Amino acid sequence: MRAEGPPPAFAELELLEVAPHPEQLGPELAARLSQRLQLPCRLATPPEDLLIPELAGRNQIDADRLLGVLESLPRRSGSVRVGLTHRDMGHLIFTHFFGRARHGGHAVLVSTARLDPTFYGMTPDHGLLIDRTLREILHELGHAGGVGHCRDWECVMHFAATVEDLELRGDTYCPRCAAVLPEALAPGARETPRGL
Amino acid sequence: MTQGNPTDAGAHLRILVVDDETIVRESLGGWLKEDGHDVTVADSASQALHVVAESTFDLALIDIKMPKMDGLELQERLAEAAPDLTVIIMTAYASVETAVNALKAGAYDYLVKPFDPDELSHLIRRAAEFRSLSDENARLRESLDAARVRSPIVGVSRAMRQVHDLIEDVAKTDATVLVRGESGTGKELVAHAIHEASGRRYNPLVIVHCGALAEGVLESELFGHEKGAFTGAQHHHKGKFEQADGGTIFLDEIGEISAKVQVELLRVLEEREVTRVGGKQAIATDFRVVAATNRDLQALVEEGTFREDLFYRLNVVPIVIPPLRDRPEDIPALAEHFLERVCSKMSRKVPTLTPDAVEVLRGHDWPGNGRELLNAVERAVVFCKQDALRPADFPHYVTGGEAAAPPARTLAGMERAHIVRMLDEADWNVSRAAAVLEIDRGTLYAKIRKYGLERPAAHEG
Repeated sequence: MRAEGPPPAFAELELLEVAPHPEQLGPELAARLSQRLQLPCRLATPPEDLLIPELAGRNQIDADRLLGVLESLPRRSGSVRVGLTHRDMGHLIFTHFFGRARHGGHAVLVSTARLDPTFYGMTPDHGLLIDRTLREILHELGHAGGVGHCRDWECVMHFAATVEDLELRGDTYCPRCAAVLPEALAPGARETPRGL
Repeated sequence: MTQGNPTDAGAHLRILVVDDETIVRESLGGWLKEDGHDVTVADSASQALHVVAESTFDLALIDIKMPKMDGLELQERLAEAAPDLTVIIMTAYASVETAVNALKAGAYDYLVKPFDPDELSHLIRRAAEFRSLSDENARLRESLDAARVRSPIVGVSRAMRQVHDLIEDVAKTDATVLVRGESGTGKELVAHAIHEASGRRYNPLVIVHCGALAEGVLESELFGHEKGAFTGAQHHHKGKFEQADGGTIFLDEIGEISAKVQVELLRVLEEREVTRVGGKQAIATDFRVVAATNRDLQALVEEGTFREDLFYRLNVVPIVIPPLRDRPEDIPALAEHFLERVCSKMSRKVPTLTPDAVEVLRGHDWPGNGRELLNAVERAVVFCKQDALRPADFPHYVTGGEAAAPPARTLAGMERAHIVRMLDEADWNVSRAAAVLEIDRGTLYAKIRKYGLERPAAHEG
């Protein structure tokens, strides 16, 4: 998705869980994100009447429409919303997405469905799930911050077609991407030691 | 968003997305732009044709189902408007069959909606690689064409001009050619010239020296063999006819093949398919045959040692290369040509040929034809100490004096020299040379190995 305006200020992050993972990942992720980006990250509760847009006949959330819903909800100034769901996300022409964001958008959306090892018949692994989810959130925040995909495999903005790719790529922003990202997002990302 | 990145192939492509659905254009276009491609979208086939007329694209992603003009028709129109454009068709499950038709019509591939982003990523990466390889292939062919010598056959005589004309005419067809000429006249070069001037030039020219191989080996070489077909056949082996698929096969010394191989060869020429030794399945192959011999095949037919039907199969277009003694006017140009080639190989400055030397060369009857002339020139260059080649630089047998090289003093030296002479006389047909020497072929092969003798390369004539 392309730029719709200047990147947000990234004064704070708001983590909003919609149809969340049964393990309630929100508090741990908020803490890890806050520590990682040196930004306040608070948990928010979705409105009770929030409608989750579905893709007809596919048992999937319509990623773009849900992202639009999250962007339309009231938010604090300078806040960037991180939507988190455990429902699988798809699109009219794509079978699935791990995450979704608009350049310059004030919300990003990440699905833990395909980040969870159990999706692939593996045994549950909480640490791995958190690691993958954090990487994916950082990636989508990078898009919201105005950065496209990066060719550098060491950069968290490198594309990931599979969860294996997602783990192979780096977990920090490379200098080139960091130079483009908003100040509030990039310095923290660059200064924080690697290894989520 | 995370998923897929066609730029991993290292290329930023100019991509045209054609779909009547806004959401598809926006989503797919945005996804591709995310990866750094230049993306243009069109909401209809007519708009696509318009933008293609205005700009150049590497790749087009086209929805198959569109109102007015569908993706298939658009693909056909684009093939005319932009033949280099790589087309990927997008389709729904219901129209996979149509997508297959699109492939048959030249589309690079198709995607079924909704598509896995990983699949799209891989497809675009492959398309970029395909595009890059196609461009490289086109560049290489251009440079290859530029580097090709139209015909390496040197000759100004009327006879050789006719040979040239015949080569040019026959190269445009797939007709079988039988080249006849004495040893050293350059029969193999004629095969090269025909192949290089033909539409098959980008495919292999496979050369088989039939006379140098024993019957069983020749069969296996020509037709291939299956694993276990005979002792030592540990792997499947593609025969020369299979290797020549799309190209030309040159069957040198065709007059030497056994009666059994003649039968098999005739069948292959008639049916255009081969069955490997030990195999049951016939394998179709597309080849053009150029055969050559220094023997009188017609006489062999009359003797009953060469099949008449095979002779007529081979002798569709006969090309006869006259011996050098019958066209002395070719000798100066040929000598100059060899001189340049030899000096280039030796990294030496090319000396001039004095008029006296030219006259001497014209006066010799060259029984070994071009090959003998080449050897004489090479020897003269080695011994030449000045900027010009004079008669004295050439061997005495050319200038009319005694043999230049002193005879070998040892028995082995004499044997070696004699074997070389007999092989040369037999045009390196080991069977015939062995017969003349009254030894068996195996013994002759052993002596060839012992003395490190090598068949001379083909020479102009």
